[in-house]
Amino acid sequence: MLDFIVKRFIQVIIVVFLALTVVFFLIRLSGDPTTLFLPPDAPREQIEEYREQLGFNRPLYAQYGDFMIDAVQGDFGESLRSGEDALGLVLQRMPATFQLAFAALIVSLLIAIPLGVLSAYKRNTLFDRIGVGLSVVGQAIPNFWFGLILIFIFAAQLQFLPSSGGGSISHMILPVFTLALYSISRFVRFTRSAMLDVLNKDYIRTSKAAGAPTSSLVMKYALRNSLIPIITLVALDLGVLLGGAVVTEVVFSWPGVGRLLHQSLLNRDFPIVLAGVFIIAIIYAVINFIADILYAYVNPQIRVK
Amino acid sequence: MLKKSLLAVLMLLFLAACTEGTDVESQNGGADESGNTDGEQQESIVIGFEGDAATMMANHDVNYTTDTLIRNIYDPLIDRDGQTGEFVPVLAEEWENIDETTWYFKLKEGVEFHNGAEFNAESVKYSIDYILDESNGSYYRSRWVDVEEVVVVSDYEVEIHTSRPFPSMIERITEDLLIMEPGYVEEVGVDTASNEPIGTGPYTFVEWSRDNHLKLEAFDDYWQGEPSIKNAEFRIIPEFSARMSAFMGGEVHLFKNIPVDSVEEIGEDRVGEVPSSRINYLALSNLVDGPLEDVNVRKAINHAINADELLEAVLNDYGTRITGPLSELNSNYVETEDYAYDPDLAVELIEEAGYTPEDLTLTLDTPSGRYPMDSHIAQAIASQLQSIGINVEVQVNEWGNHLEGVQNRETGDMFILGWGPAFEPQSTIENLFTEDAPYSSFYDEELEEKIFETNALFDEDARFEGYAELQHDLVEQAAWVPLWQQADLYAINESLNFSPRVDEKINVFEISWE
Amino acid sequence: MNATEVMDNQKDKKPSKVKDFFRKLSRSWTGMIGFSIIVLLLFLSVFGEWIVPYDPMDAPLSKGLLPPMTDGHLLGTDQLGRDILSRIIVGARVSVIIGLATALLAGVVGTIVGVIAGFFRGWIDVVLMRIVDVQLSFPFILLVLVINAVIGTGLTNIVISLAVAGWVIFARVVRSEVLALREKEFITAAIATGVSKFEILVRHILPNIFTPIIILASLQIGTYIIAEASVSFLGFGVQPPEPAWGNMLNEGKDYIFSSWWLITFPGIAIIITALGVNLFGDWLRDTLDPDLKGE
Repeated sequence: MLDFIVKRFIQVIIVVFLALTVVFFLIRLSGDPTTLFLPPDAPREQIEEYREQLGFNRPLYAQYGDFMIDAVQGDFGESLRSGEDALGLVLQRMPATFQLAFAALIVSLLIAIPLGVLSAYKRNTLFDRIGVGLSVVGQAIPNFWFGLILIFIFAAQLQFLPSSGGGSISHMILPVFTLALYSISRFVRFTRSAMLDVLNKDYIRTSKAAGAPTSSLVMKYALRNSLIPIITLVALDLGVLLGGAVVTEVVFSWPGVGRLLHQSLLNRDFPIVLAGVFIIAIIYAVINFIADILYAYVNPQIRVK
Repeated sequence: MLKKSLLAVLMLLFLAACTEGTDVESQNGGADESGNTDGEQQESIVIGFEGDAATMMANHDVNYTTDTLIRNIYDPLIDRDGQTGEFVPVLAEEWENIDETTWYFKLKEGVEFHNGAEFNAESVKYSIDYILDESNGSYYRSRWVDVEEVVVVSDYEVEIHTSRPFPSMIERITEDLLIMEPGYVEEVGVDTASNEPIGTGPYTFVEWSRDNHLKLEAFDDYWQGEPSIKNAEFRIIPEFSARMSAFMGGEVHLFKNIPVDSVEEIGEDRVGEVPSSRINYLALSNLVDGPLEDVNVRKAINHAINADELLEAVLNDYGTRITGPLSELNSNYVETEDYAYDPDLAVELIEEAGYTPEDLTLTLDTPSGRYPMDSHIAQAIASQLQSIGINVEVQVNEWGNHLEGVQNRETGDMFILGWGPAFEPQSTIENLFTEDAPYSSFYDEELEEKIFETNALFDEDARFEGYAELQHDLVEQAAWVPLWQQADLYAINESLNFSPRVDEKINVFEISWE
Repeated sequence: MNATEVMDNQKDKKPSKVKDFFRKLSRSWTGMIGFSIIVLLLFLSVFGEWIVPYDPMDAPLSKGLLPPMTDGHLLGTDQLGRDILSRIIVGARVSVIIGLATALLAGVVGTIVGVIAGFFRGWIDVVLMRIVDVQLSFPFILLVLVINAVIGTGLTNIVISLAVAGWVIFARVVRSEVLALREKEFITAAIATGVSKFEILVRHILPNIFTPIIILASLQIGTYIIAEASVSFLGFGVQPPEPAWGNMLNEGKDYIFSSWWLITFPGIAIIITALGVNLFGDWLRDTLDPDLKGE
């Protein structure tokens, strides 16, 4: 096990390193952003001077070398626009993004697992069909569009929920549901099929035949046995949620990392983009890492069975 | 067994993360709710703003969002009148141009910074030196390089010496310079000062949560008197729909940039309008090979575009037509002739130039969301030109790409751009119609000579004559298609006293509750 | 492997293949719905410009922002007076191109990488799969955004960025299919009898991974269409005046309070499309390869 963890850990480091390299070259290829920050009437020789100061006129490999040496020490340079530490700016927004993503995850679980269990339990009834139908539709809805519609209905027409900014619980409701929509849909279907798999297993059939009351049976065996695959999926989906947060944060002006990255892409504020890529790659890698360890635990048991 | 404990740990992790989140949020929530209850409303204001400042440091980031926010904390030496755009003394009482390279300023006495330090000539010198010091990386420096030295004459007198004649000095002082407290910046360092600013302005800094909010508190010892609004919050809401619903729900009392079609929804009595000093135009490039090198074709385009119809139908008449290179708000503005909408004449002119309209295929680049209805205007212009047979290929660009394209002259025949805030002809004409300047992509050798001659003039009358002539010449050359001054539209809570300013600034000091 | 059998069956009964397809399809009403939506979409994208009630580019400014069911505009008009229904019909083409072209590009690249990695194994497998890991360590939509910020916007660039972000999933699936195939008897037998690697690849491997690729592609297309709309919403997508559902939403988002129809109808068009493609993909998976059922 330890061997496996060490191996995976080294992989995480390689993955983060390569991700940074690729994004570094990708954004350096898009030209240099100096003129976006200078007043429009800046004379040509001035633009050159700033370019030199920001290091954009140096050979690419030299820029890359310096960047990597600094990045290893946690220094991603300063925001081109504000001159503030780029990594610091990204880390500042992390709590807001985590808050949104975790809240959406909890909401998805609270809604999706009971729905999925019930659907499996009442298999092929009207309830099941509607549940599955809605989750299929839910996966086809673009979440920014859903967010706009929620704003239109709840913030503009009914005016009982705020549409923007961080803050109180009521500020969270619309963005959290917007972000959770996709996960809810996925989890319902997944929980249902995981439950059905277990329900069809021999030992459940046997105890059913032996006359165990059905509802307690479902709770006792099936749910417990399908939780492992569900939790693994959840761990993986946390990454998807963090990605979906970009769009949701923009729609609801939520002060998180996604909005910062979108803004920084529009401003071509590259140090922030790179610092953001670094943080997201690490989070993703860690989530995958945990999911892998989970699989490693689960697999031997599956084999025994 | 292992499986179970692992499960439990995971569940705990999620729960812990969740509770942590709730903590953060309830703290914020508590602080956030002030200013929303009716009792406190007379004291507080929440302003919805489309973008956040990059820094709280004065004299650093050349950006309208940064400038608008921090002008509530810092004072300038000279400001503009919010309605006429004329210079108004603030921390400078009077000023004088001693000779071509020397400017003199007499400063206000008895003004204090938020930390009790005294405002004097040293603070002015320090603020300008901050811009000039390369190691600070201020983006304003490009405009100030010709400043050689700031000399402290006495406690309340300074002189600015320039290496070259600098006729637009007062303009630069007004637009760019805000006064910082030297002792404070020296003591805490630039990093801290960039996050916790100290100025002489009407509001003191309370809290800044990036991309979320900036909270300010009235500075009761403000030299112009106690501000009427005690607590001000700028809430950063980039998406219009979110800004709008926050306003409709009463969470936000004021915001800028309403799309013209939403005016009705807000109610005209809650909408404030001011003609901005920013102009929008359609550039006709004669630096790109093509039919637009011919003055007759450029004239024809001017005749074929019905700007009045665009203004009425696309902008619902929110905007003020311009006919030349400058808006009325500019010093030395003169009225110029208008190219009347006349599609037949346009066709004639094109034929005179040796083409038929069907021969012409022109490209038209536009940004999206930068200026009111920009990409719609572009598509409507294309449709108007197509109606006389000219083929137009519209290319809508994301703003960063558009600006880069314009600056590198990668756009084709025509593009849409705005310019401003513009109050005096020098920077506009010089930056738009010379060979090195990319923003109109129009160049004429003779005109360029004239532009440089006029810019160097110090005599007021000669300057006026020069710029008047230039304005007529540029129209005669059909250097571009002038469109309009933008109308800045503000949504204003019905019991708020607020007059929108021509320079796009939001000075909370000028706002009060009824 | 089931896929092999399906393939072989299909080869044997070529004339009845189409009949067989519809017979199976008719047993699943969700599959039918999905299939009908796809047929409608393909029809609109080919013949759309001939059946539109109005010229989708024509902008009579005086007729701007008409609500639905006025003046013969079933779904109303936009800011410039253009007919929304016509723009939605013509916009179907962009979604179809995005979906198909991206799936094709990502599928081909992913398949090549996956086959090389799975068939040749060794260091090249390790290197390629590390690259795949790198990409998977990044949110799909963010990657698409970064790429479009760099290479620019427009239909071609969107297809490129979506494919660059999307090929990895094909590579992974194809690799594991190839790995599984390698262990199959008929392949080990072929290797043992000295058939050349190239021949094994072309005659045995490629035909047998075709089905899972098609299934995966059909399941990915919905994702691409939604991603394009999201990227357009963020300002980096297919740009007007070319009518596309994503940019219609982007242009209409500021009118949500005054003219709800501007964002409602293109949004519904996207949902119906994604739904249709997903339903069909699900059906295809369940029918052709029951082993893949579930996640």
